[in-house]
Amino acid sequence: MTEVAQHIVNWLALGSIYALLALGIAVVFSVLGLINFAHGELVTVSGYSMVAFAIWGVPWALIIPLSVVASMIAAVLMERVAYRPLRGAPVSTTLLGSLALSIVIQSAFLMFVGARPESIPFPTWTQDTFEVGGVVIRTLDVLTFATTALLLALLLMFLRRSVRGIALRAASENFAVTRLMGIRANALIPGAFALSGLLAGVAGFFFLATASLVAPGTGFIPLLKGFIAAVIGGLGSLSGAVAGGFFLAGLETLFQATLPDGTAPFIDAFTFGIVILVLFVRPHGLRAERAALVERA
Amino acid sequence: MSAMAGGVRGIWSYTQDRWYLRALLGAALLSLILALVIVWFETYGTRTDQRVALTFLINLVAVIGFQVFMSNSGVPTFGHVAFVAIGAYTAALVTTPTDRKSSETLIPDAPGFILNTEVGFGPALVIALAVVALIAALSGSAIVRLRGGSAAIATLALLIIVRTVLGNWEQLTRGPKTWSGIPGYTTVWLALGVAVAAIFVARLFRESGGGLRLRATRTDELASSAVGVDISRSRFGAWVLSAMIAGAAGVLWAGYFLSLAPQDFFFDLTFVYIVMVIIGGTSVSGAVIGAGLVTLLTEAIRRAETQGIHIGPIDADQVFGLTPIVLGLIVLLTMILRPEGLLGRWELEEWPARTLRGLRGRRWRRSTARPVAGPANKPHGGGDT
Repeated sequence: MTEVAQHIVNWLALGSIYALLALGIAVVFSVLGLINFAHGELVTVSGYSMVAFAIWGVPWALIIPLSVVASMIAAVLMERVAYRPLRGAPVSTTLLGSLALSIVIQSAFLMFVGARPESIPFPTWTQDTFEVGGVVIRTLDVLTFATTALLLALLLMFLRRSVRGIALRAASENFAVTRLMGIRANALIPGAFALSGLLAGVAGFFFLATASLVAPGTGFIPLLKGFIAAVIGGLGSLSGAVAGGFFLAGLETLFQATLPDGTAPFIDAFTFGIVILVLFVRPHGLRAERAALVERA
Repeated sequence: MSAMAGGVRGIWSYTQDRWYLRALLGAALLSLILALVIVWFETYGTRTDQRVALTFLINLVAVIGFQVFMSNSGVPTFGHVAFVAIGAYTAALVTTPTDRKSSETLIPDAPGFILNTEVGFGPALVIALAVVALIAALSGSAIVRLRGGSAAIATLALLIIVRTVLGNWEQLTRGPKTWSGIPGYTTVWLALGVAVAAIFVARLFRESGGGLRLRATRTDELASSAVGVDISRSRFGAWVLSAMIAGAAGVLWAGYFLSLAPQDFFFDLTFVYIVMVIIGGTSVSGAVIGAGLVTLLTEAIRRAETQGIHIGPIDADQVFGLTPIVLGLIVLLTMILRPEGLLGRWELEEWPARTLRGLRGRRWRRSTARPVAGPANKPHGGGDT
């Protein structure tokens, strides 16, 4: 029983991270129809900025928001430098363009910082644990889930109540008409990227706190998980992205808990196999966005 | 008018009106150029040059595999390196000498029928292609049903599955450890032969009815299905065919590099192949030219890297990560300035006439401007012309 509870705690924490990552990818996709392969690099950027700020002696209470800001700036810069000239190109073009951008950023870190992983001096409270009824819970896991829930609530309010949020949702339905309503594309799109940078920065903190290391290739795993989660949820659907994140984390936790010892290295293969199966049954994901399918397929 | 009466022009248009003649003629021209380049390297090149030429041929076969699916369907694929890996590992399993395989350092625990098999290149190619075709058919039946970006992500999932299995199946692949002891059956002429065969297959497919239907789905999914094209079915054929070409590249790979490690067949290699396909354009000629250009470029960078770079303030004996940066920037620039690649969608023999005719409206913004929903319409300001 306690073991089951333990797995549920792990699932919620992991699912929160995946949901944030998938949401960041989905926000950009829903507005632009762009699959941002460089999304993982935002996590890398926030990781390296943590290292840099820590070296300069900035207290952690400031490092966390600053690293999120760094990730947001990186996201907006990506849009300005690489994606704006590609606007309007077919999905496959922008997909490959973003793949190239991701490789360029990774190689830049490799050249200028080095291949050796840098350790991030996280404060000790991130490793604290407490016990409830025999279940050992990491404080960080609780924080991960709580932050994600809070962020989702704020995002929901932003999307429902504010003009920018409504514009963002409108743009994911029909971009051309949204612009006819007087929303400036060059304000809306960087806004979407800033939002995805914010989500990646927050996810990055919780993701990196487990390993405490950042290397040029760090972004690959978060990118992959975010992608898969977003695709399972139905690319372009924001609620689907969250559902996909928890679904993917659920699969991983389930396999971790139930598969016999010898098969542990194959967990990724099983998970991705299930993902392909899910897509086979529901090719458009769990919650497909109809506009995105008809107009951007 | 009789075709013969029109002279050379008549014969030309006679061949261009028949898809198989068009394909065979174009493939022959491309193969001839390729063969001349390879013969030139074999005659005048240094040993290093010859090694580069052979590696180029192996990569070329894989890139043609990518081209057959990706360029005709417009769906980016990250999965074909998995087929290269499966081809290479299957070839390794059946060509490595029996006593070598059963020794403690390789795979003593493998099933008997694998341990007792020892064949040459020909049978190995047949077996490898059969295995690849089987796996491609299984994975393809799911992947071809997906549309847009989801399809690309599913191919990525395939790459990861295959990488995970190859990297952990100790009994059959030695898991993460390097596999060695493959007999070196790949010569430059064998590789050239396979490359030429791949060019012919790719050209014939592209010009055939199936290829035309697939290219129609690339241009417009809705319109093509409205005229009766079954998108999933036409993608499925291309998926299996392209996987088999990539698998053939794997067989050559195993017989040349002689040792295999699962991490060789992952994202880095995928990126290089994708760059090769994108830079050249979506035609078969484009894939060949793209592969050639990228090989020349990476080779130039590699030689510069080993000698160090000393330009003004940049003073480095050894630079890491330069190749991917240059490749990445080239892709971005290609995407922005010439999204259809160097040759666009034209084959070599069509290209001169098309370019002359199309000089005025080359860029897709002007030539193929379609009313697409979303930010396709002219962006606000932003310095865009």
